[in-house]
This record gives sequence, C-alpha cells and structure tokens, in this order.
Amino acid sequence: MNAIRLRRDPRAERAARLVPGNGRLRYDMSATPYERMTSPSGRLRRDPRAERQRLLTTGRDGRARLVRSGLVGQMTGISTASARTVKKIRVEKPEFFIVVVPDLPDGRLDRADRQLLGAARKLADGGEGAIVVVGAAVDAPSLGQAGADRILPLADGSDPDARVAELVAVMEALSPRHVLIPESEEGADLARRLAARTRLGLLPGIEVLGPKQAIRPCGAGRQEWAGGLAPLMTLAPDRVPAWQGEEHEILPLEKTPVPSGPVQARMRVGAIRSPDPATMNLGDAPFVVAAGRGVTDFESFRATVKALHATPGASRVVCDNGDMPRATQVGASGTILDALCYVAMGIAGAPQHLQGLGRVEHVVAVNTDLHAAMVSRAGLAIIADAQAVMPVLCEILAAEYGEKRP
Amino acid sequence: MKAVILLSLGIDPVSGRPAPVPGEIRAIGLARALGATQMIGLHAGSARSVLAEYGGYGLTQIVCLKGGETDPVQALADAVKGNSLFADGAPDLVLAASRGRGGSDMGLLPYQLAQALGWPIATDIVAPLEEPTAVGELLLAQSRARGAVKPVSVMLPCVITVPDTARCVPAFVFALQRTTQMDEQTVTVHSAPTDEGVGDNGMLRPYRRRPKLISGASKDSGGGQLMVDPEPHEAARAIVTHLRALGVLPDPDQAPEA
Ligand SMILES: Cc1cc2nc3c(=O)[nH]c(=O)nc-3n(C[C@H](O)[C@H](O)[C@H](O)COP(=O)(O)OP(=O)(O)OC[C@H]3O[C@@H](n4cnc5c(N)ncnc54)[C@H](O)[C@@H]3O)c2cc1C
Ligand SMILES: Nc1ncnc2c1ncn2[C@@H]1O[C@H](COP(=O)(O)O)[C@@H](O)[C@H]1O
Repeated sequence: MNAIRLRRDPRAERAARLVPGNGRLRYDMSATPYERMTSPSGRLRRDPRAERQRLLTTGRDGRARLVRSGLVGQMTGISTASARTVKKIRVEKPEFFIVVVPDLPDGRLDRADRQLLGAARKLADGGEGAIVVVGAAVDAPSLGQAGADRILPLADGSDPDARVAELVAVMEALSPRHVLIPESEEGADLARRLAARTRLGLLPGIEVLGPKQAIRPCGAGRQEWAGGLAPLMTLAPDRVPAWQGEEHEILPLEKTPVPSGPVQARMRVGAIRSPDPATMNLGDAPFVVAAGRGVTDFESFRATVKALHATPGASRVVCDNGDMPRATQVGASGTILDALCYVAMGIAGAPQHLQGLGRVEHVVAVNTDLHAAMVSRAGLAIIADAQAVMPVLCEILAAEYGEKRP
Repeated sequence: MKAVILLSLGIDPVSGRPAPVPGEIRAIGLARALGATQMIGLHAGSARSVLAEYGGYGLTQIVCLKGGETDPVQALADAVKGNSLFADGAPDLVLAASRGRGGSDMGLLPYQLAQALGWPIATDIVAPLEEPTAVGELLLAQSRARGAVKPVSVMLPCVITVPDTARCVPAFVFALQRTTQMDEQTVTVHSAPTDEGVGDNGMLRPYRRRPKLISGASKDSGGGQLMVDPEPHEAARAIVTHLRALGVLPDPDQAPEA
C-alpha cells in the first residue's frame, strides 16, 4: 500500500467544474476536472460517463447502441451501407440439390409449403446444397423469401402419372440428394407414386427432421421409427418451422431435364367439386349456422341459412323439441364440427354444446344475454334479439347477391 | 365384377390388440357399392384369427399366402395375376386401405402392387359417382378436405385405396364371421429387393407426443368484437362484414358458384 494517501479536495474539484454563466452558479458534472483522475491509491480512475459517450453510436434502426468492441467507426459504416442494399444469399456452386415439390394451392405457397422449404433449408445448409422448387409457376420473390435457390416449372396436368413422369425426368437430370414433399392430400399421393415408380426409399409423414435423423410415427401411432434420412421424404404439417432467415436469390438452373415422352393416360382427375352446403355432412361443413332455444322463428332461420349458403346446425334442446332434425345437432352427443366459422343464434353455450366446437376457429354469436358462454367464445358477439337480426340479414344478402345465388 | 380386398394385420391404436383396419372394412363396402359380385380377401402372410373378423363384414372367402410376408408385393402380384383366385378369370379390382394400421403404416404397398401389376391406382376413393362413363372405365369420387370430392375416371382393371373416413361401412354380422372360409396357400417368393436408401438403420421405440407448431393467425383475429343492443340493420351489416373478412362469404360482385 501507498504510505501517503492523497486527500481529495471536494471544494477544488467543484470549483473546477464551474461553468461560466450569467447569474446562477452552474456546474458541469460530466466534465473531467483534471486531465486524468487518479484514485487515492494512485491508480487511474475510470470515467464511466466518458467511456459510455465514446461507445455510443447510432444503430441501423436509428436507435442508440453501445459498441464495446472498439469498432465504432466501422460499425456506423456498415449500418449505413446495409440500409441501402438488401443482401440476398446466393448459392452459386451447390454440392448437391434438394428437390422440393410444394402443393401450391392457387399458385401460392401455403403454410405447409413454407414449412417444407424450412425443412429443406435445414438439410441444404448442412452442406453446400441448393433447393430446387418444382411446381407450377409462382412469383420468384416469395419463393426466395421462403428459402428456395432455383425454380423449375412443371406442367399442371390432370393425370397424376404424367406428373410423376415429369418428376422422374427432373430427378434424372439433377440426381438430388433428397426429394421433399408435403404429407398433404395431393403430396402424399405424389410421393408414394414416385416411390413405387423409382423404387427409391420413402419416409412418409416425418414429424422430426434433422440433418442426420428423421422420426415418423408407425404401428397405429403407438410407436415411432427413428433413423437416417431417405431419398424421398414427406413432411407432416406443423412440425418444422418455416425459413426465417435472409432471403435467397433465385438463380437459373444449371441443368434442365429432358422432357419425358407422353405417358399412356390411364386415369384422369377432374376439378374439385364442393358439396351442397344444405345437404352436406355437418362434420365436414366449412361454415355452419346454428339455432338454439333463443330462436323461435324457424322459417326465418332456415331462410338465413340458405341466404348465407351455410350448413344448418342446432343445439340439443332445439332437436329435442323437434324444430330441427336430429342430424343437425352440434355437441358432445351430436356432431363435432370441423368448420372454419360457426354462427350461433340464441345458443347459450353449455359445455356439452361447446365440446362440439372443438376445431372451430371463428365464432359469431347472436344472443340477448351478455353473459352467455357463447358470447365469451365469440370473435363477434351481438347482444340482440335473433328474431330481429335474422330477417334483416336475409334482406341485406338478397339485396347484395340478387338472384345470383340459388 | 370380381374384386380382391387386400387385408393386413392391424392393431387397435388404443389397446394394441389385433383388430381389423378401418380402411379395409370400408374397402369391402366400396367394392359392394361398385357392384362387385365376387369378393376375395387376400393376405400375404400366414392365417390369423383376426382376419376372420372381416368375414363378419361380408367377406366370406379369405386367402392367406403363407410365406408371402418376406415380399408381400411380389406374393400379392403373383396371386392376382395367377388367375387362381377366381374360377372365371382375373379380378377387375384390387381394393386396399389408404393406410395400414399397426405395421409401417406408409400406405405404400398398394402403389407398389399397382406398379408390379402395371395397373393404374386411384386413391382415397369414398364412393362411386353415378354419371355415365365409357365402357371399361370407372368414375369414382376421391375425398378431399371439408367434404369436397374430385371426380376420378380410371381404366379397369385398377387398384383402389379407401380412406378411414369413407362412409361405406358394411354392417357387421357375426353369423357371417362364423361361416368365413379361410384358405392358406404356401407360396415361395424370391427375397425382397429392399428399397434403396431406407435400410434397417432405424429403430422402433414407443411414440413420443411432441407439440405441434402453433398456428399463428388461426386465433380469433376478430379480437372479440362486441356490440350491445345495436340496431338490427347495424348488427346484420356487422355480421356480413365479419363473415366476408373471414372469407366464408364471397364478395357481392364476384359471381358465386352455381
Ligand atoms: C349428457 C348431456 C349431453 C348433452 N349433449 C348436448 C349436445 O350434444 N348438444 C347440445 O347442444 N346440447 C347438449 N346438451 C344440453 C346442454 O347442456 C344444453 O342444455 C343445451 O345446449 C342448451 O341449448 P340452448 O343453448 O339452445 O338453450 P338455452 O340454454 O335455453 O339457451 C338459450 C339462449 O338463447 C338466448 N336467447 C333467448 N332469447 C333470445 C332471443 N330472442 N334472441 C337471441 N338469443 C336469445 C338466451 O340468452 C340463452 O343464452 C347435453 C346435456 C347433457 C346432460
Ligand atoms: N401383408 C399384406 N397382405 C395383404 N395386404 C396388405 C399387406 N400389407 C399391406 N396390405 C394392404 O396395403 C394397405 C396399406 O398398407 P401399408 O402400406 O402397410 O400402410 C393395407 O391396408 C392393406 O390393404
């Protein structure tokens, strides 16, 4: 220890910080009174305020940032440059290809397709791989954002075997390491056709996918199979997150497949037919309008269902009273819905009834009771008399659609 | 029409005990609906007592190919082509479930069989479509999400797979099960050419339930809009706007489907 300890002179320190001004005394507390402050033991004292000031820069998004690595000047340079040019990842010389065959309903990537590309990125980024999206035309930017590197357009035929033949030609040209397909209705069929045709190994309905391992359920869902990857794989929905990273740049494909000769047409698949909502099965219906005991005017209710082009439903009490057929009962002892939207007219929302709404996403409730359970479940709740609302609803729909609707 | 129904050894997903596969039961019902006059159940493997349960659903003759389990595709294809099943010629239809239940559950076997036979395969068929078709063709309804169907026309002979959701479930009659005739034939198949890529490098273990990703936008996006005692007109307008935002009601200028 130092024998002589310097004593601080607070008055002198204070005087050194005095700022000349008019009238009142002002002190600048952030100013350093001496060139370098030493502690009583002789060590240099830190000045946290000054240090902070030196580290402070403006970040990319305009907010204050502390850069502690001492690269202050460079940091600001980067932030201004990157704000101007959007950087895209380019995979120029891939070691291998991963072919992805998304469903592309309505020509756009859906949720499952994005997840599929996310999974493909996982596999491609394990090495230096490029993802080739094979499908009917889609806009390149959305594919790039989803993580694709190349696009290969594919004809959209009605014969699934012709699609398989095209894919076989693609696989021969690119010899991809893996082909990824969603385990959706169309994708599941395509993957199995491809597996039977090419005799390549298939792992369908994968739930966990890593660069080395895939896990899929089997044995009636009581067991799971875990093992290495296969050339053909289909991915179960909502298992692998979509690609969240930087956008990829779509580059032209190095090799193009030789178009295959016409295949013998042995089957044709026609355009999809949606069923008549008035008579379709309640459990499959996408849009259900249901009546509870709050509905007394069933003529008006039936007219509303017809005008909305929906499938009719009812609570148990209504079916018990004979106002609606038993087949329309929604709930624990009736039908469990798979609908997108459910409109409840005068239904209280008893637990046995709400059980029937298991998978329904959106609920609209019309009820006179603000505290009904159905009202708290609803995305749009209308506290009004159903008998008053239904005829007006019919009028509005009739005015808007005229005679165009059946 | 002569139909062959492919039967596999299923298990019950809850108890794990042997049980018929739902899709195969429905395949029996669909074969009836398609007007099959003769039906034979075919299983690649030795005879088991569970298979007799299919008899209760109306399949009173079942043939088991003992020794065929080493390469079921080959064994089944040989049996179907070999004309030994029916007295008067080859079958017109082969029906199977879309997915097995209890084995690998890949649903790949019907496709491989169709490939081996050189027949077309129509999948996820729930019913025949009652519309005129060319001779030697079948018009079938392929099931799609939310009750929609796609018409599929396919040349005979063909393979058809039936999903668990089909509604053509035949009634179970115990007396029929008791009269079911089970034949066991011994077949020899050349050892299976295993598919490239999927080796025996995997392992089986009890299923572990893993959480699914949460669907981001699927929660009620309306944010719980509440209208207390609105004018009826105002209320009806709000309902129409809300339904349109959800996409269940088409826009008025758009011509709705006929
Ligand atoms: C074992 C068991 C199984 C059951 N299974 C089912 C089932 O599967 N399905 C089922 O639905 N039920 C089932 N129930 C019955 C269930 O418990 C309820 O009794 C039933 O759902 C109530 O039907 P509700 O909402 O139509 O009638 P209520 O409970 O009488 O509710 C009527 C609602 O309408 C409102 N209202 C009244 N007047 C108007 C008006 N003018 N305008 C607008 N709103 C109005 C009221 O405020 C109230 O909220 C079951 C019960 C049991 C015990
Ligand atoms: N060993 C077998 N014998 C007869 N049919 C079978 C056999 N294995 C599978 N199948 C049929 O193929 C369908 C699909 O089976 P899988 O490919 O195992 O999911 C089953 O539902 C059966 O109809």
